[in-house]
Amino acid sequence: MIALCLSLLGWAAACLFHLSVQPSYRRRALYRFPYSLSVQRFLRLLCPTIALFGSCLYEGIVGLFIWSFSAPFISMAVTFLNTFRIWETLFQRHDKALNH
Amino acid sequence: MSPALRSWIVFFHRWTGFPVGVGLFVLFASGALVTFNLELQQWMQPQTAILAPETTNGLTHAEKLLLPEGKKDEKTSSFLRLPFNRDPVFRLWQYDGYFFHGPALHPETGQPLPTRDVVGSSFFNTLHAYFFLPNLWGRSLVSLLGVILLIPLITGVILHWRRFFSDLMLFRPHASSHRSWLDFHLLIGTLTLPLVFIIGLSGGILQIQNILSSLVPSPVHRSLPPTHSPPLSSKSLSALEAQGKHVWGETAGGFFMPIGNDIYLYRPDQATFCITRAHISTTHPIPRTLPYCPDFHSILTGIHLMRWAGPTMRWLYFGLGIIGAFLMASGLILFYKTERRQIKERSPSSSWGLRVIYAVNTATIIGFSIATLGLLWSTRLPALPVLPPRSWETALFFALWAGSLIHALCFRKAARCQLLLLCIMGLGLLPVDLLTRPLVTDRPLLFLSVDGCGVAVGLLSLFAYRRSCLS
Repeated sequence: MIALCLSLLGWAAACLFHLSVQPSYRRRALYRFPYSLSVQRFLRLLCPTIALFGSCLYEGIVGLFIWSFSAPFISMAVTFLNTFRIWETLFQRHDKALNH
Repeated sequence: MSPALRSWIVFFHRWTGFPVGVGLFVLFASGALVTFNLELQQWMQPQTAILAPETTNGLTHAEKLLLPEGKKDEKTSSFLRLPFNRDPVFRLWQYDGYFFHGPALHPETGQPLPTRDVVGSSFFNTLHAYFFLPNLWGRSLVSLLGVILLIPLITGVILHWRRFFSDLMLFRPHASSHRSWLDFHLLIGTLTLPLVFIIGLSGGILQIQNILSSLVPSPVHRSLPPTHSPPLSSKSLSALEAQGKHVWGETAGGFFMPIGNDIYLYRPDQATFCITRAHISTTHPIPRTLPYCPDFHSILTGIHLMRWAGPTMRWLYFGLGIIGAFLMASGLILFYKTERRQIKERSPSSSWGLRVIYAVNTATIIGFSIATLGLLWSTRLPALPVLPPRSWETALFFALWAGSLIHALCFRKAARCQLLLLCIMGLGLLPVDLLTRPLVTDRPLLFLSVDGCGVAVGLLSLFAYRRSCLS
């Protein structure tokens, strides 16, 4: 279970950073992390890598499978959350520029 | 990429994707169900969902049924599977080429449990492995599908490559119907691409290896080498199980099989990543020394069958199978929508080709789900007296599936009617379960999970029905 939680957290962070570095004109990034793009791109790679090491440390080879199999689920969950603008509801953020 | 080349790739993607997608939808969906095959078996036979420890007394009684007095020298193809956490009863099973069938025995007493002879989980195994076709033809078809899956995958990646990463998490449900289905198809396809590739290819190669091994007959198991260790003093199953525990540490889930005048105990598949089928017998109590993964075939079985997986991994694998089925379903729907647009541009009158595509899609996506739920219902409801229960359940499954196809061929709004039926059957699974088994059970989560999946299918089809009414 720890391996699964680590994997989900790592992939979720990677997805959020991926969305954050998308340009605004694509009207998908409803939030922005306050770091430079290069740092965010680095974190996008770092988070799942740490999750991979963590889950393998806890579960061995099973951790590798849990890590790889959990990726599509959390990515889809983040996509749907983002698509249906649940971030806006949760954090009450209304960025007019992004709604054009 | 030149427009001409792109249009050729689109052509290949669509026209290989449609026929392959029909078969792969069934393979992915049945594969997802096979992930929980033993749990489904218990759902179909609620009397076997008990929590009781295995006892020596139980094993002794089970031995009497496996090797009846006076018939010990007769050839039998039965085997006795030991209880373990996923299926906590003895199973005295025989394989008839399609199904594993036989009595379930209580783990404490070894007495047969009063269960109905149902198709069980092996129905989906057989469907997944060779579509209930003659063995060689079925396996060839499945392996062909596994290999041809590469064409739509590769052509899809080529077509989408330019925006592969930037549109990785793009989904626009409020856009036009075609656009939102395409987004959905791309979203699932890109996020699951490596896993679908590995699972599809490993399944295809496994089937090719099975075909090759069936063409060159080989003994059921590798004979044990001469050993200097003395044979067991007792030929009882208990002594063999004790020896198995001494050698491997754990035997729960392993199985006994009488071969010739000897009795073999096979190591449980879930004990190791690669399935090696290590075994001992009363005359050879020390197993052959095998590497952890002796060959490529055993590695593929480890990756594809995942017998070693625990509940978390099993749920993830199940979910991936369902997502794979959604990938195929969205592709089939997109194919139909594009064909409809193109055909209507050429001639506004209705086309038989389009009707056939519509019927095949409806029968594949909705009909298969109806047939699966119908099978689950039929294992709990009384069978027709004219047929034995297993034949009745199998016949019902294929009749519902064929009925869905014929209905969709005859009626223009068949998909909506069938969605409504699917909704009723999905939501009705919970009441059927509660009404046809004792309310108090040792494994409530098992029943709740299967019923929950039925309710989820029902709600999803209700959502799809409402959307189809609005559009």
